Amino acid sequence: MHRIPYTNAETLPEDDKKRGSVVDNIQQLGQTNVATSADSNIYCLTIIGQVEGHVVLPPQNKTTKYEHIIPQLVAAEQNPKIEGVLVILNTVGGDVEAGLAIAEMIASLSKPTVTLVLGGGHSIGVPIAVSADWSIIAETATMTIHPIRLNGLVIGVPQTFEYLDKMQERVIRFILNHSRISEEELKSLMFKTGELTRDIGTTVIGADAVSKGLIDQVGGVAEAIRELNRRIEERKQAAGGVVQ
Amino acid sequence: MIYSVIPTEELFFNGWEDTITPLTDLTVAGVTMQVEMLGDGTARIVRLISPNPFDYMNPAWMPGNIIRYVPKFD
Repeated sequence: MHRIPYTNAETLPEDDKKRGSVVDNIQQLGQTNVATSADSNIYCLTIIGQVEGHVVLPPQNKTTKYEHIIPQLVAAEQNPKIEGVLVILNTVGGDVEAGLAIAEMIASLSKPTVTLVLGGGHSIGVPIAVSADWSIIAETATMTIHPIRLNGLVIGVPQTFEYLDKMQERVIRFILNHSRISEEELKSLMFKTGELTRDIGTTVIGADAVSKGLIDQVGGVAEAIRELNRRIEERKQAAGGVVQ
Repeated sequence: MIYSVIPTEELFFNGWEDTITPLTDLTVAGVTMQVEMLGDGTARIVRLISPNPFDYMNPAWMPGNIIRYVPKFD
């Protein structure tokens, strides 16, 4: 998908008079005045569908592309008007590199971050879900923890297994470093048999994810915004800023 | 390397033959959106990709709305 070299756009005005002035504006200035929205102090990232990384997926897949998310996270860190980041997840997983890149970016932001898992936060969605300062899961949301697989043409040498193990290990390390779950618990969830019909692994739902120490709290958008605002205030006070 | 609950064969080998119009990324007033090009200087908004929650409240950027675009000459 390429970016076309058109940067100016305007919603079609309803009356012709207004339309005329918009067209004039474009011809003379090469620019139109577009109604802009109010600014929010909370940056809201939604990670939905497949996390798309190095390979473009067919158009019927709903995807979140890392080339959209990563610059947005840089902007969130850099923009002084942004005080906190809310990440909303409903993902089936996706590219390991892209997912870990997003998770590392969220984890290394200096501003308060909260993640909210709605619907599902599966596979590579798990490290993204635990990457924030505080993580929340909806009561009905699920997280599938399963091993990484190799697909396509595989060279049948021991090194292939070592490579796969390394890829697996960096996902496990990230989850362990950013949540309260123990290594034994995580690995037992990941390699469990008999739970999933087509795979090895476990699905944890809402409160289960909290009791296992993967996620911090069960809740919804109200809890997420409240927690983020509390952390924003805390950070302001710690910095000796203006307290309302 | 894909780590997903969706089987890889389903991910990659379905949907190429479908006649879904490929979407184009467009940036309007700093907001990235995916649009469907209509070919006559207009485009239909399919999805907003904005981290500012208030952008989704802007009636002008509702999915389904038609936007007009013109080439920019610098």
